Formats: sequence, C-alpha cells, structure tokens
Amino acid sequence: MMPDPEQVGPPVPSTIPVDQNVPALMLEHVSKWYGQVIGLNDVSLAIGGGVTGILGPNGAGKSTLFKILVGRLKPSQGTVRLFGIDPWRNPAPYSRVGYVSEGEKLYDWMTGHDFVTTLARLYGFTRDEASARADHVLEFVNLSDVAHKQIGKYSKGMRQRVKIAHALVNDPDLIILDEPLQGCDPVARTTIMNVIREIGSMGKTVVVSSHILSEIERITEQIVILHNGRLLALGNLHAIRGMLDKHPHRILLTTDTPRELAARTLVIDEVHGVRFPLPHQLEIQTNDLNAVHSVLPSLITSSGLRVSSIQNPDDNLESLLAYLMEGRS
Amino acid sequence: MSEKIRNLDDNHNPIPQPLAHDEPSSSMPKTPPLPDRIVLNSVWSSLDRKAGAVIEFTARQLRVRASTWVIATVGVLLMLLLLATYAEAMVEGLEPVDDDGDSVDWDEDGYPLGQERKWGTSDWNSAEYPGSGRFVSDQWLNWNEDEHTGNHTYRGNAKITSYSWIGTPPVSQSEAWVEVENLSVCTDYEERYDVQLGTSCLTEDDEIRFNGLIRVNGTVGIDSDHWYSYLEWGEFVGVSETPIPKDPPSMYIDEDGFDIDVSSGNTSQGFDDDGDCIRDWDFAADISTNPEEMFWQEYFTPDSNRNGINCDVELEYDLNGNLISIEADDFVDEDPSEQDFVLESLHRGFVLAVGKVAFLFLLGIFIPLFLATGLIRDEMASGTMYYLVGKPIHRAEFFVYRILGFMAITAPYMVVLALLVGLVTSFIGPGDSLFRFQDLTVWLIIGITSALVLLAYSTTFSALGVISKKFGIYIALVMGVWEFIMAFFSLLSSGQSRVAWLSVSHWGLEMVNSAALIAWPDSSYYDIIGSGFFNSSVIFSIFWNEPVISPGSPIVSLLVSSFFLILYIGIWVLIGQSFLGRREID
Repeated sequence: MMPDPEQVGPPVPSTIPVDQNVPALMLEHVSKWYGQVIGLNDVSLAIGGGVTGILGPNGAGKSTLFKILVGRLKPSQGTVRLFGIDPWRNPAPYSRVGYVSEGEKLYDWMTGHDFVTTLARLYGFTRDEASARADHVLEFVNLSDVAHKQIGKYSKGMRQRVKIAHALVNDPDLIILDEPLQGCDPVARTTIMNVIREIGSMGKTVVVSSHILSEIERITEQIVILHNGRLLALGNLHAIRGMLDKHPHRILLTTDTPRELAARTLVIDEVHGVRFPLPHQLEIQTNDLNAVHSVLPSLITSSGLRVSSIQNPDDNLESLLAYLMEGRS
Repeated sequence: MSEKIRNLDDNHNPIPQPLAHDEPSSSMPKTPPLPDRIVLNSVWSSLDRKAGAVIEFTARQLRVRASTWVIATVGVLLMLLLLATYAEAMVEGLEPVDDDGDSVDWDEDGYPLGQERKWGTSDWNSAEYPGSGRFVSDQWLNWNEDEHTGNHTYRGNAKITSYSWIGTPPVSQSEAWVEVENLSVCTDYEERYDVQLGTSCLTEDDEIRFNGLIRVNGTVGIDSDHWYSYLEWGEFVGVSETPIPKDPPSMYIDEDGFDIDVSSGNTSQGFDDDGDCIRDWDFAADISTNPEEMFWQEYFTPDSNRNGINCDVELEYDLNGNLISIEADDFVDEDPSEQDFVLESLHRGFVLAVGKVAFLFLLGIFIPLFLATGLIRDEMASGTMYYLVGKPIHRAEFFVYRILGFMAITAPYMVVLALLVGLVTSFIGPGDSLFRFQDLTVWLIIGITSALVLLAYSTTFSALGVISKKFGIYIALVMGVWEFIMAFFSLLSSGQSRVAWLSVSHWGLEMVNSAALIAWPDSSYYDIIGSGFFNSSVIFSIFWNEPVISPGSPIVSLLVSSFFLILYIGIWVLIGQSFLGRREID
C-alpha cells in the first residue's frame, strides 16, 4: 500500500451508500476566496435528482462552485459533500460522478474512443469493459461514426460531446456539466441539449451551468441562480418567470408599417403602451408577456402586415437578475 | 421545500418547486452492467487497473511528444558516436610496443639487447655477444702494486715478466683475446707502451707486452709511469662451443606480460617470462658474489624491490585489503602486450566513461529535466488535469503512477541502450573469448543505475513542478546544474568529497564503481599500473574509482548506494504527493 501523507480522510466505506435521503451534492455555507476576490459567498445548496440549471452571468461563481464540488478547489469555508463524502479529502465519490469542465483542452492526439476508454480505465474498469462502455457512450452522444478519428480533427460540438461521453462512461449518478453549450453551433447545441434531457430522463442528477437563460429553459425547469458568488434564487423556472412576467416587459417588432401595427396591438388588453424607437420598429409594453405572445401571431397574420422579427429584449438573464436584485433590495 | 432542491438557509425566494421527472426513456441505450461497486469505490482497490491505465496513458503521452523523440534520438546518436570512436580503436588495435627497449641491438652485433641480457653479455660492446664469453673481473691491481703473480685470466694493458704457462684463447673468442704465439718484437716506444687492443709483442727485456685478455700462470705487471697501463684478473665465462643463433628482435616485443592475480591476495607475484631477470647464470656472472658486477654496463639487481625474493613483483595491500602499490624487480613483467593491457585498460575506461558521463550525467539528468518536470505541472497548466484526477483515484497514487508511466518509457530506453552498447563493446572488446561476458554485469548495473537515477531525478523534478508551477522548472534547472557539478566533484575526488555525498549522482557513481569492481576484481591493479606506466590507459585511471562505502566488498557498496537512492526517491515521492494533495487544480 502506498503511503498517504495528506489525503487520508476517514476510513472509506467499502461501498458508497446509495441512500435516497442523501442528496447527490450538498453545500453548507460554502465560501471561496481568491485572495481578496470572492468567488463564492456563503452558498448552501442541496441537489438530488433531475436536471438542474445553474444560471449566472460570467463571473457569477458557477465554475468555482463546480470546481469545489468535484474537489478541484478546496472551499475556504463551509462543507461540501458528494453523496455524503467530502470530495476534497476523499476521491471515492468520483466513481458516481461525471464532470465536464468548461475548458476546451483535450488530448488532441487521441481518438475519441481512445480518450473515453483510457479515462474509463481510471475508474477501475478492465480494458475490455472500458472499451465497451466507450462504444456505448459515444453512440449515445452520436459520435460513433467519428469515434476512431483524432480528437484534434473534431468540431467544437464534437469536442463537447466527447467530453460529455467521457463524463457518462462510468454510468454516474451525478453529472456536472459546466457550460456544455458554450461555443457550439445551433445544430451541436440541439444535439447536446437533447443528450442532457435524455440523461435527466434516465433519473440521473444532472447539474448544468449556462449564462443563457433560453438554453437552460430548453433543458430544465429547475434552476439555481448565482450572482457575484451568491445564491440569488433557486426553484422552478416557471414560477420565477411568472413573477418576472408580471413586471413591465417590452416586445420589439421590426416592420415597415409600425404605426398600423401599433394601432392593431393596442386593442390587446395586456398592452399598456407603444413606442417607436426607430422608424421601422415598434415597441410594445406589457406586464403579461405570455398573454400578449398568445394573441400576437394571429393578430399579425390577420392584419396582413409584414413583420420581419419579434424580439423580447427583457426576456434574458440580465433582466431576470435585475428583477431579482430589485426584489432583494 | 422541495425534496429535490432544498434551500438550506431558507433565505431566498421564490419558493422552490418540486422537479417534475420524466420516466426514464425506453429508447435510451442501456449501459453495460457495472461491476461490483466495491471495485469502484475503494480508493486503494483496483490499483492494478488504475495504475495500468495511468502508466499506459503517460507512456503514450510521452510517445507522441516530439521532445521525447528528439531526446531519444540525441541519446542514440551520442552512443553511436562514442561506439564508433571505440570501435575504431579496438578494431585497429594497438601496435605492439617494446616497452623496455630490449628488442634493439645497440652494439649492432646482431644480438638484441634482450638476448644479450639473458646471456649476461653487454649490448654496448660488439665484441661481446651470447656465446662469445665475457670476462668477469675479480680484482684490480692496487694503486701501490706493480705486479701480481698467479694463474688467472688477466685483462689489461700490461706486461708478463715471468710465466710457467700461457693458455690459448677460447674457440669462440672476443676480439680482445691476445695471441702470444709467434710474438713480434716491440720495435719502438709506441709499440712497446701503446699496444693495440688484442695484440702483443716481445720487448728487448723479454717481457711480453699485451693489451687485452690473456690466460697465464706467472707474474703480470704494469708500467706505473704510463697512465694507460692497467691490470685486472678474474674469470672468462659463457663461452659456447657452437655459435648461438641470433634471436629476431620481434621476440623481445611484448615478451613479458603481467602475471598478477590481484584477487589471490598474495603479496609476491609476477613471473619473469623472458628470463632476463632470472638469466642463465651458468653463462653469466656469479651474482651471489658480486651483485653489482654489471653496474658499469647496466644497473641491475634481481631483488630491486628488496623484499628478499628475486625476480618477483611485490603487491602491497592496506589494512582493508585494498591494493595500494605494485613494485616489480628489475626486468620482471616489464613488457606487457599492448593488446592485452592497454586495450583492456582502454576498454574498461570506455565502459566507465560512457556509463558515468553519457548515461548517468547526460541522459540521467537531461531526460528527466526535459520530460519529467512537466509530468504533472503541464497537465495543470493546460487544464487537462481534472480528466485524470477527477476520478476515484487518489492524488498520491496518481503522482506515483505518473512517474511510473515516465519510467515505463525511459527506463527500458536506458537499460536497452546500455545493454546494446554493452553487447557491441563485449563483442569487439579485447580478450581471448569471443564475448566478454563479465562486462554484462557492469552494463546491466549501469542500465539499472541509470534507471534508478532517472527515477530519482524524475521524482524530484516532477515534485518541483507540482510545488511551483511558475518556478518549478527553474528550481529543477538549478538542481540539475548542482547534480552535474557534484557528479564531477565526486568523480575527481574519487568519491571522497562529503559534499558530493549529498547528490544523487554520487550514489549513482558509487553503484557503477561497485559494479566495475564486481566484474573486474583487478581494477585497482589496472589503475595503479595504468596511471604509472601507460599514458594510453589514463582514461581508465580517470573514470575508475574504488567504491568508498566498503572498498573491500563491492556488493555491500552496491546495496548501500541503491538504498540511499531509494531512500531519496521515497522522500521526494512523499514531498510530491504531499504538495499534489494540497494543490488546487484551477
């Protein structure tokens, strides 16, 4: 047995308890400072089951949270538990965790199959087992046809998917995905989002981060919002959105006939007012975004007016954050 | 509060809602069944699989790096260059050298010095040669005497005043014998007093004047007023009835090799193969009565080392049984074969020089410096570290496996390279046998030592890379320079420098020195003889040092040195593991 001067934690149980009452991940008053800069500020959280989106603008502390969760960083304060075990002191919970970091770096000289197989062997699988599992997860993320190509020749979307495949190879109960959609083209985004939804539907605990609200919305309803290292909100996205929708919203339409269109939209009860920010633009103001959106398409169609785009400038994370911050204040 | 997401401090709004879960999709491919959880969960279980995976991965990673191939190629080219130089020296061989100069016929009488020595004749006098016989003086006429009476062989420029018998010269006579039959009359002063060598004449006083050798029973005297008159008497020995064949000069080149078995521990050794110390005294002077007899022509005593034994070589050992000096009697083991001694010495010098400098100093330090410093640091810097340590594998384990992966590539490279160089040199090296099997011990231990040194440096440099991502490489460079200096310090101080004991290189050298002593127990002898007499074997004297830990027992030195290296490696493994355990992987 090798000596272990630093990381011998409490005796590791021979099996990690598969206790439904123990959340897959739990943080209690966790803070992390980088010198004078605070990365995470007194975050307490427990997640166990389904897909959870971690939302927050860049620098909100999402990656720091994930790195603490997977034992890459040591919390300055507080307690972290993965399946009830401190991952900084004991790597045993990693056998049930799959983690995709936001970094793009991969071993470009390896093939996708090679990469997944090699890393699978670090879980203790035999070479054959690891290879079979690699085949399986690569098929799952739709990379079978390029599995034996060098990763260096993969597109960005493929690289993200091969990272996801490697995170799934040990059939984990908890999958942590840090910005998995970043930099991907629309097709790759759709594929990856489908994959995440499917993993969630398998009953796994999936934690996925993004700074784009619409992306998370397409994957899950359960969100955690981080801002400046603090836990700002958590819960069902619909509930949060419902509250948000009760606040003034803008809908921006691009049309050649903004005034005619304005006249027609003003008949909708939920429309409080209109503006013309540019000659070809119409801005509708409302407190009930859903209600307006439910009638707007039919109204435009029946009017015969040409509308080239419909945008919701307030339907983004910043607006949500602004609203939540306002609520807190 | 949701059963799926719980806000533990309950400070935030909105109220979390329960997650709605779909049933697991039936269209999802099924994962293969997991092995027993025990295999996965215990940190120290499945070490073989995880170890194998990390080691294999690290080895493959090194294999695809261009720098690995560059360094490996440089190492091979270096060895090829050294081997080419070595092979040239070995294949061409060395011209036999007449180390004692006894193949030369100085007096040009046709007999080389070696042959004349054996017969006790002078190679500075062409009238004296093997079989010619030679005069051995017994006594000179005292300064206050004018004549001597007796039956002797006389030599001198003198006169016979009375006699009862005069002998005839021997059959094989030298030019100096004087014929006394048909004596001519000394006609004038000059003929009377300045008689030519080998001639005689009768004076008007009936005295026979002669210059040379003559056998006579009578009274022989000198003219004291003539300064060139002299007289001595003694014996004439070594006359051969038949002519002695002249030996070819080549017989006296490489004719007296070293007959010493250092491992026997005997203090009196050596054998006078060419017989020029022992000599055949029937034909030579009676050395027991007049050992300095030949002083005037060639200084020679058969016991010049004064150990009481004629014609031997005295070996002196210290209290620990180490050979400290070798002293031979004159003309013993004085002309060894260059092929046997100098080539052997060159060969051993080459093995040690390549083993120590090329393998231990150059490859041993530079390979880890270039390839091992980044083993973990590079992974951390490139952001790929989490792929490897974000697994149920202990960081302490990971550190060890990573180094073992490095060793999986470099150790076989070193051992195979050492054995290949060893194979080539064992085939073309000097010796009677086709293959020098004893050398394989040295090369094998050079290979193993190089691997141990590699392990020591790779552990150190790798740990330094973990300790400081930014300065690790610079600290490693400083350590590399320190080791390089200490290596030469240890080499030049014969391992005695205590400062050098603080370096890995010293213990590596100690291991190679021990190996050399195991394979070549007579190394001290080559060192002493080589450094004293043969400049061409100076390479051996430079690179050969006795092990300092236990000079009398190289095995003990080997074990103690390897223990120190392993201890050093262990300490750095602990340091590296400790720092990696604390290191945050950003």
